[in-house]
Amino acid sequence: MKAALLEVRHLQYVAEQLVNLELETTQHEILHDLNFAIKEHEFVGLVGPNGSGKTTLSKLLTRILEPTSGQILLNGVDYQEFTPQWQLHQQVSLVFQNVDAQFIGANFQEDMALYLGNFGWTPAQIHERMQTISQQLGLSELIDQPFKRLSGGQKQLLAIAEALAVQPKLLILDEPTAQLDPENTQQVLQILQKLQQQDVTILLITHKLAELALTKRVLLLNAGQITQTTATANLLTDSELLRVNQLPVPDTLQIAEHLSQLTEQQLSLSNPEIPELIRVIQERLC
Amino acid sequence: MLEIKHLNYQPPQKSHFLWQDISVRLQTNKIYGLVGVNGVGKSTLLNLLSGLTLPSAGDIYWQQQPIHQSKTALRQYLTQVGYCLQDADHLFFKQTVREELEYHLQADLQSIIELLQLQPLLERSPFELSGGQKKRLGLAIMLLRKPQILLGDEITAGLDAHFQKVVLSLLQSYRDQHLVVLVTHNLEEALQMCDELLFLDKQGLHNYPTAQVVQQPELFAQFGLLKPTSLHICQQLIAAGLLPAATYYRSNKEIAQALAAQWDKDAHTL
Repeated sequence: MKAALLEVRHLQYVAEQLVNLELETTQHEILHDLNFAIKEHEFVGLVGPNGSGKTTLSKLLTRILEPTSGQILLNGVDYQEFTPQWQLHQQVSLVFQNVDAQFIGANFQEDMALYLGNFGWTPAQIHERMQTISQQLGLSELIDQPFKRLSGGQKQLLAIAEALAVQPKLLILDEPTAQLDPENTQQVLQILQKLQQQDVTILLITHKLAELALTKRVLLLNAGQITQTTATANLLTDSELLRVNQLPVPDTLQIAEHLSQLTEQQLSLSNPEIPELIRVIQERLC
Repeated sequence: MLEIKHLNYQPPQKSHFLWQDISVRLQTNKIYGLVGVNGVGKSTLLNLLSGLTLPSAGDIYWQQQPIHQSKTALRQYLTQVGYCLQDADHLFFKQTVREELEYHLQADLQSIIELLQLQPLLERSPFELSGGQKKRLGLAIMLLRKPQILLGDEITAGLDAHFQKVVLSLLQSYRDQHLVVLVTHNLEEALQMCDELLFLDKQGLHNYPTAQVVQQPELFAQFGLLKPTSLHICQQLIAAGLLPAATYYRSNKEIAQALAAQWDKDAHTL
């Protein structure tokens, strides 16, 4: 049985907002008593409606934010025991939802130098790693381009490259293809599939079914709590569960549902692929 | 009417223009989907349409007047434009969501709050909201201003399925007596919502009614784009003999209706 790489125990996060200069604050609980584990080499999805706490959780898992209460453990070691903190950041990497918040340097070369330099990498090591990762992802032409001149999609690909640079044990991606066109989305998905084969453990936050389909298991987050954990294959053929969690229903399932109503025949799909839709129609209606 | 005549843009420190030439007429009472491969300049074109970026060649004509003719003309044009930026953070400058909305108030505030379900967020800082919540707030701000021209850059990216439907429905209502131009990578959404698609490539802008695009799915490959899933499904159903040759539909409901019609036609078998 695989060991847990990441364990989250009774995690709570309450956001405080400053109201005035007298330091009065308002509080807003975003995450409440979260408990879950991710095993080594797992590819897990995290889904939930807007405002359910997905990005907040990603920031807690990378110690950008500190929890109000509860514990997070990596390989059995409490996050609080990682000192200096950058030791954790070499093992858990995050691709931000808003990539502009991820970059500090003027271009990728500069940003990598700052990022990896902070971990004590030498210039030669940084250069070699940058060449390797940019070639792997087909981004060599972008590495010296100013970020302000790049499209949203181009920046997102560079953000993924940067997160991969430290070869993390756990890679967290917060809606990594939100700004990408379908072609670049496919490129990213192929990269993620390769990573999974290379033993990287991945937590993928997404609203997109094509990304979710890569995962084996999904955590359903709603109003700050994990309401359910289910196999991805189950989720993708359960229209009701998808709708309750504000996820799109696959086109094939929608067609089957409409067709069931129109023909008064029960058309159920065992997977959301097009051949399955064709098979069911041929079986039930031909 | 908005007319673009020989528009072009040369990025700083670059020696070439982005496109060969952009010329097109855009009508009110329509939603246009601006599509194209990554990096082709969709957001740049939207920035030019918003009046915030000065073109390197050509101009944009609003009610037959060039908007860059004078500062007065530009100022006049800017009051007619609402622009939902890709990064909604750039729109906010007040302490709470309520203050943001009330600053822009020109219409019924409460109905916008209800439609976009902003009530629970009113006392929170706009900068503390989730990505999807910020997008909704950005759209609310623009709708409150009731611009003649509404521009949106990936307006539904990051929204969950429920709010995608809400926003699309809002935009379809807004089309009445307004002009809407949306940059989107979501070609499914573009097919369902837009009256015309504007394909942008290095040569320029090529516009087609969506109904025509649906019947010519090869247009997507022509502009370096993958076919939307609904058209791909239609092709597979045609190949399986379940739909007549060369029949394509914009939505899953229409596909199901066509299949059901075939089922009825053949006396309950397809």
